[in-house]
Order: sequence, then structure tokens, then C-alpha cells
Amino acid sequence: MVRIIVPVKYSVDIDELTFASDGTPKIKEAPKKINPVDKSAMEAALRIKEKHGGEVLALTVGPEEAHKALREALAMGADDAYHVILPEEKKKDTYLTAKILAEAIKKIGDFDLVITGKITVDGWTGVVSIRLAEELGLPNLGFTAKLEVEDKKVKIRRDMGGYIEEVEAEFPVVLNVVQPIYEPRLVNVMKLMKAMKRPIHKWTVEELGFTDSDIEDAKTLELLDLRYPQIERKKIKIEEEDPKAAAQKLVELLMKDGVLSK
Amino acid sequence: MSDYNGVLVYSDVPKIRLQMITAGKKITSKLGGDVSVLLFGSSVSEDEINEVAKHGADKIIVIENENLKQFDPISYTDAYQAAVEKIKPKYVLFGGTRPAVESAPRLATRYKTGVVFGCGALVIDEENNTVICGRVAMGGKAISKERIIKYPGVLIVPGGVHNIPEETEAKAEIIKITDAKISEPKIKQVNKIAKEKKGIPLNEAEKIVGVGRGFKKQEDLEMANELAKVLGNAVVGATRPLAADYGWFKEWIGISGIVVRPKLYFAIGISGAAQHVMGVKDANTIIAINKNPDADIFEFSDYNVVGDLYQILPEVVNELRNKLS
Repeated sequence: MVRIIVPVKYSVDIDELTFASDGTPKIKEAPKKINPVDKSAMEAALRIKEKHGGEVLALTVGPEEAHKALREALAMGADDAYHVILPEEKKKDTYLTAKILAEAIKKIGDFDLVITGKITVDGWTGVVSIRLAEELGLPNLGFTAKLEVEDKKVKIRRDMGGYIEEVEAEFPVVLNVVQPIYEPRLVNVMKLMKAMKRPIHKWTVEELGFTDSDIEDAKTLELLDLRYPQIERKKIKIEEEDPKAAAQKLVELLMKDGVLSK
Repeated sequence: MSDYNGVLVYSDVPKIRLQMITAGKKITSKLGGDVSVLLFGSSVSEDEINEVAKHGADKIIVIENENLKQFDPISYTDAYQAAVEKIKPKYVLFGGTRPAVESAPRLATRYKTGVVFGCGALVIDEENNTVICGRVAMGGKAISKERIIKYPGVLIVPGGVHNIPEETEAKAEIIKITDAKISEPKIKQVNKIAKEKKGIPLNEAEKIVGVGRGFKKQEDLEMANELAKVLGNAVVGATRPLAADYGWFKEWIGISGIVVRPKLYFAIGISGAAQHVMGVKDANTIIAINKNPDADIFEFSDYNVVGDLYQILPEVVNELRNKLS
């Protein structure tokens, strides 16, 4: 029996994100959905449960509407779901998110594994899972590409950049998984409809023991600017009809501009 | 907060460690303080110390401990913490390797401070006595500028952005920490597999021929190989779909894959998805060949050839063969 907690995020759907004329993203108007790699984390958890028995619990921190990410997790097969309500205006950076997740996990109680996605598409910080492990005082195993559970231990395979390794650790552990770990199972409308009716445990941040000043103090970063990248490029057009002429013009320009030389 | 001063740098990769000295000096030259380099392991050799010293480190912190024999996020964080306690740096710079990504955020959490992953642009804000980090955000669609407001701030800086400093007279003060409390590793490595080294790795290549979905069949990639050959020392790399969906490549170029910084980048049959473009944005020169005149890639490149790659590419190879030989 393995008890697994899977934190998920209700994220901006990056593919649908548009930008204002000054280059700032229209985040409020953008549609949202469960962070894609979090579904891989759910899939990994469900496969462990199917093989070894146990429970998969989904957890999110976010505004009221974030329950929709939990609905998706329930439809995939989560046994229960927990929502810590954090209104948008109280949101800070990764430090606070990890602290709230840690308090929620402690309140949920006994667990063997926490499995998260590596990164969220909108925040794109890649540090929450690791901060969470530190808050919980547990080891973290990241970049998980394959995982197996055996005798209260988890064994993973991962690419560490310079080398590939297989490592193991005893429960409890915080894992983060990379995108194609396992293809997430499809969720049909029936399952989603059923999931919409399931109860969700809701907590406020105050119920988890956070005062307003705790939340203020947890601010570690200041966001100064966020906008569409302005990349300075020459953008010299070469539109010759004849492929040979186009090639000649390109090579001539590259040599003249000193990009290529003999 | 004024207790914190200077910069501590760490990387598990020797070359990136030296690059981080350059990044550190960029900060200390404006904001003051020393650049201290952290070295640790079950043992640290004189050679390692000398290498760092002659590349301009002001201080070298050495921790030798059996529990640091191989990567464990908690043991490594204990070592970072021991060094931070010793020198109280304003910023801790980590070279952006995977072990750093898996441990540096723990240090920030211990000190209840901020961490920025992927700080590609490091700007010194002298007026406010801080560093501003520019990084890719929103899955590659935007650039974010951020400032850590609590110290010591943790910055994870990509490798390859900063040069290795010139060699100079070694005059670093060596500080050995012998009483550091390093936890026993909780993670046990059961198997380590060296990566096959074939040619130049993408993130070190000076010339890259990038290929995208404009290539219809795997054998058509031969045209790209030809271009790489005629350019000399060039490496062929792919976009995500060619690797993740078609399986033609093991890895891909992009911020979700490998970030590259070549002098020359050919983007052939590549539409210019945000996550790809942000992974090549630091190339000195980008040449795009695409049959769609409205392809996004043309917004991000220097030489925009509009046309069918199947017709243009062989002609470019011919022309280069004539002109370069």
C-alpha cells in the first residue's frame, strides 16, 4: 500500500496566451487548465497505486477556480482532493507556494511519496518541488524519467545532464517528473462529469496557520517586468524565385558581413 | 541585510565553475565584496584549488567530507550552508547543471530567501545595490525581470553565458572548513551510466544546423548533414517534434531541452515555436530557411530565406562548397 500526494497547478494555457500591444501577456484573459506535466505526475502515481495498492491524493493551492485542476485529477483516478484557497492578490512567489503545500501535506497526514511535475508552464520557475522537499525535511529526487516502487523504497532512472543514473531512496520522498514520463491517461466527459460532483476538502491559508503578516513576510522576489521578448535581429529578406540565386545571395551576404569566411 | 556582502559561487562542473567566477566578478566589481569559490567532495585536490585560484578567485572555501562523495541534495545543501555561514555572501551563484537545479532551491528555502532559476541576463542595479535577473518565463513566451529582495539570494545561472576568465596571478585566500555538519546521503546511487560521447555536444557547438518539421522524411536529413559537413565542425540539432514525436533525435534544442549558444545557427524548416526560439536566442547569427513567408522564425533571425528547403538547401551546400574551399 502506497499513499501518494500529487500537487497540481491550475495554470495559464500557454498555447492560448496572447499579448497586449506593449508586449505584456494578457494573463487574466487567458484560458487556464491543469499544468500538463502535472498529469504525468498523476499518471505515475496512479500506476504505482494500480500495481501496489494504496491511495492517490491530489492537492492544489490557488484561487477558487483552481478546483478545476483537481476535477481533472479526480477524473484521472485520484481518490481524494484537497484545495488550499489562496486568493490571487495574496499570491507571492515560490517560497510561499512551497510553504503552503508543505503545511497542507502535513495536515493531510501520512504519506509515502509526493510526486510533482518538474515545472509549471506559466511560472516556469522549476523550484517549487525542491523547496517543498526542504520544507518537509525530505530528500528530493528530480528529473525522474522512470520509477519503480519496492519494499518502502523508490528507485528512479534519470538524466543528470553529464550522465545517466539510477538512484534509490527510502520513503518518504518528494519526486519531480519530467514531461514524457508516462503518457497521461485520457479523461472522457463522463468521468469529468462525475468528478465535478465529488466533494473537495477546502482549506483557507488561515486554517493552515498562516497570518497576513506570515504571507507578507514570505515575499522573496520582486517582479519588475514581464513581456514578449524583444530580440534584435537584422531580418534581411532573401526572396529570389530561383533557388540557386537565393543560395548565391545568401552566401554572398554571409561572406560580406563576415559571418562566414574561407 | 548589510551583513551580506560579495558572491559565493559553486558548480559541480569545472568549466562552468570558472565561468561563474566571471559572473561573480561582474557583480562584485559594481557592488563590492569578494568572489569566493566553493569546492567540496570526499577530497579536493590541489589541482582543483590551483585551477580556481589562477582564474581570479578571491577566496576558496574547501570542504572535504565522505558524505559529499556523490550528489545528494541534502548533503550538498549542508555544504552550501556551511560556506554561506562562513562568508555571508549577498548572492550565491550556481552554474545551471542538473545537480544544482535539484539542490540550490533548498538553500534558498533554508534562508527564507529568493531563488531565480535560469538567470541568463545578469544586470547590476547600482542605484538599488542589487542584481536584476532576466530569464525566460511563461513556457518560453516571455522574458521576466526579477529582483531578489532577501539575502543571501540564490541565482542559478546557465553555463555558456559567461566566458572563462583570463589566467592571472593566484592570490586566493584558502579557507578550509573542517567542522561542517554534512548529513549522511539519503539517496543511494545504484548505477551510473556514462553518456556516449559522439562528436561535439550541442551546448558547446559553435555552428549548429537546426532542423524542423519542414523535413518530411528521416533520410532527407542527409541534406542537413551535408550542410554541417561543408560548414566544418557543425552539429545537426532538431526541434522538439523531431525528437519527442518522430524519434529521429535523442534530444532537442529549446528551453524544454537543450539551450544552445552557437556563433552560427541555421534554422531549416523550423516554424519558430516560442520554446525553440528561446533556446537559440543567444546565437550570434541566425539564418532561417522556410517556405512560409509568415513563419514566426523570421521575426527572430538575421537572414531570412523564403523558399522550399528541398530546393534551396542543396543549392546553399553547393554554393558554400564553391566559396569556402
